Amino acid sequence: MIVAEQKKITEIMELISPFRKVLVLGCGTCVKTCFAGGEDEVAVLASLLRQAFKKQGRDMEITEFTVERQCEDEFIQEAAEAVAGAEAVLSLACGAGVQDIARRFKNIPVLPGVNTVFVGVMEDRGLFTEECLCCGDCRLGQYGGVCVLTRCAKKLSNGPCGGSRNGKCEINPETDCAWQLVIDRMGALGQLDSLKEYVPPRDWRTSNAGGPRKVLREDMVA
Amino acid sequence: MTDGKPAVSLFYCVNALSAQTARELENTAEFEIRPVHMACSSMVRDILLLKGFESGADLVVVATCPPGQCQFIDGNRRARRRVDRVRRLLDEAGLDGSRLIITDCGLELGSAGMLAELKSALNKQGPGVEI
Amino acid sequence: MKDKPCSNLQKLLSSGEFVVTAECGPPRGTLKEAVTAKGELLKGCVDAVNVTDNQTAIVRMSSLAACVHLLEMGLEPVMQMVTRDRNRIALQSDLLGAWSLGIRNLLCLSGDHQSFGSQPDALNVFDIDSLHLLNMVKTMRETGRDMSGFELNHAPRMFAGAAANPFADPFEYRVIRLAKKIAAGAGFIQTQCIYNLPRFREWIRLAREQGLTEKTYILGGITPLKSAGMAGYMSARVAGMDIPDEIIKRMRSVPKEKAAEEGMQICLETIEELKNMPGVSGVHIMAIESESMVAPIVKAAGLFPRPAAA
Repeated sequence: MIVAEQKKITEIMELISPFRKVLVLGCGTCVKTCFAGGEDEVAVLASLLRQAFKKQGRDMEITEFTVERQCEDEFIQEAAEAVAGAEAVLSLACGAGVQDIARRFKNIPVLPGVNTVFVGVMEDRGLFTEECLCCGDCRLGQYGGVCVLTRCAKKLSNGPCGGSRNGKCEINPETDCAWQLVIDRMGALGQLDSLKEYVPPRDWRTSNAGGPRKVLREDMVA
Repeated sequence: MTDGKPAVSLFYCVNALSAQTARELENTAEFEIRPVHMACSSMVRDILLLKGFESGADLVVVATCPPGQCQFIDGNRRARRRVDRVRRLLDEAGLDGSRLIITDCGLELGSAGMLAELKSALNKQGPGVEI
Repeated sequence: MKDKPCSNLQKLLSSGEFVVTAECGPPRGTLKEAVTAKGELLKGCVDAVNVTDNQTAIVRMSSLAACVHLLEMGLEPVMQMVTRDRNRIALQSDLLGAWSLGIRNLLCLSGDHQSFGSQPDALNVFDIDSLHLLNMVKTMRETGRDMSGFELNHAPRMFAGAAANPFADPFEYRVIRLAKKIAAGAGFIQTQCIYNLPRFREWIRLAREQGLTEKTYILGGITPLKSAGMAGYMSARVAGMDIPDEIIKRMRSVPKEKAAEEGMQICLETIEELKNMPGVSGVHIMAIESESMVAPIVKAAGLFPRPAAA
């Protein structure tokens, strides 16, 4: 899923303070799963904002609405009425959702209420970790299912650096050394020998470095 | 404030306060106490606590059973985590998280002890806490 | 190792000489003298001098520039190049520039992560890793072509090396990594500083077993301990550092004024072991910001004078 984290409320208040009527718009997919922007989170944020602005003596109307996904027009349109009634939209969706809302509702300012952080998984209850940086050319099979581009702080393709210590990364003792994970995994699979092969440099054209990307299914085009 | 009396939302479970204490608190003249009985104190979801304040409470109190005595094993610990988080959110929003109180001594304190705690908490806020 | 040596360092190594290299860190400023002063301390007691590349991700005068200052005063530099800050375009470009300025030795590294340095807010690059860099240098040397396949006009033929850390985890993978670096083009290896001789001996033995010491020249890293505090700090805080308890105890057992002397003694004992260890072709003395210690060490270790540069 895409993992996001709600912005600090002081930042959000600053973003919406020029307006008097703000719609807090939630999304029921990724950000709901990581507890950043689903319906429940919308309710909590809206309540805090109302109380905070009231304390400041500001007359601010905060409305709430949540759609299934803010990255598909079919669902976005369900929010049309709620959007029409507001001066600005505070979207709690990921960056893609915020942009899609802005794309569909051109005449209203759309502000981000969360920081989109990464593509990841819920590794443990309440703990989300980054797994994929969307390089566009997946080689996970080569590494026993551990992405060295994403999870190695130096994106090393050919083995660990000299800073790997006790299975942890030199930049943070709580971060696993991705290469230790690769070696452990490949060892368990009896595939350690393949790690002796030289892996050539990445072609980064398939990544965002090559420019913003598109995927097209021609058979599905209207 | 309600009728000049400080308003308190009180969330409690059956192991946190005796039925008598709950009755006495509800009927006390010094505060306007609105008790909410829950099967387990862990059911204090963030929105419930915030709605308590939004609808006018000066204090929101969560009473849990003592450590190790939750009949749902972990409920009181989860309640504490939830309260800590909402406190932090209130503080970040400039809304004074110390108005959200949690206690696991309800049985020990009884209504007299609870009222004393509430008074002391309010005095820290100062009079006329207006949200 | 078969091709004609293009640098004095390579020449000495291929003639079987036990070489001495040291390190020089460029200044956080622009004074040439800050480089040449260090050079003066090292001149005559080393065969080549590594010049670090924004070490620990702290912004310093570029390695390339500092190498040129050392060249001009008659020292042979080993330019260090990290892949943290530059993509393959910039790295190749700097390589061509370096060769044109007379630089002939290169150490290929990934580099310390920027979160440690003076600009943790910077975007890192890591377009390629140190093995890709080694391979790039090897390809230029052997085919005259750059990474895109373009035939360069007078391609550089750098003598390239890599770093190795026998003391980092995972141990079982370290010799595999060494083999990979050699296959990618590492003509020499400089190791992390050695305090744990038994572990180092084991690593060299494994390397010898796999025929790796026939394919590259290994230089053992040496850093003299100046105090018990330094030993403790390095042991606890520096990733990939292995200082056995006996060494720390030794440093703590002497009075403070004698600590540096004891550190020097440990250093000399290590060098003596390395001189007699098959598969080891020299020492790499890393006395960053203490370059004045290098000459006394080299002399006391019986490695002075150095052979004249050919």
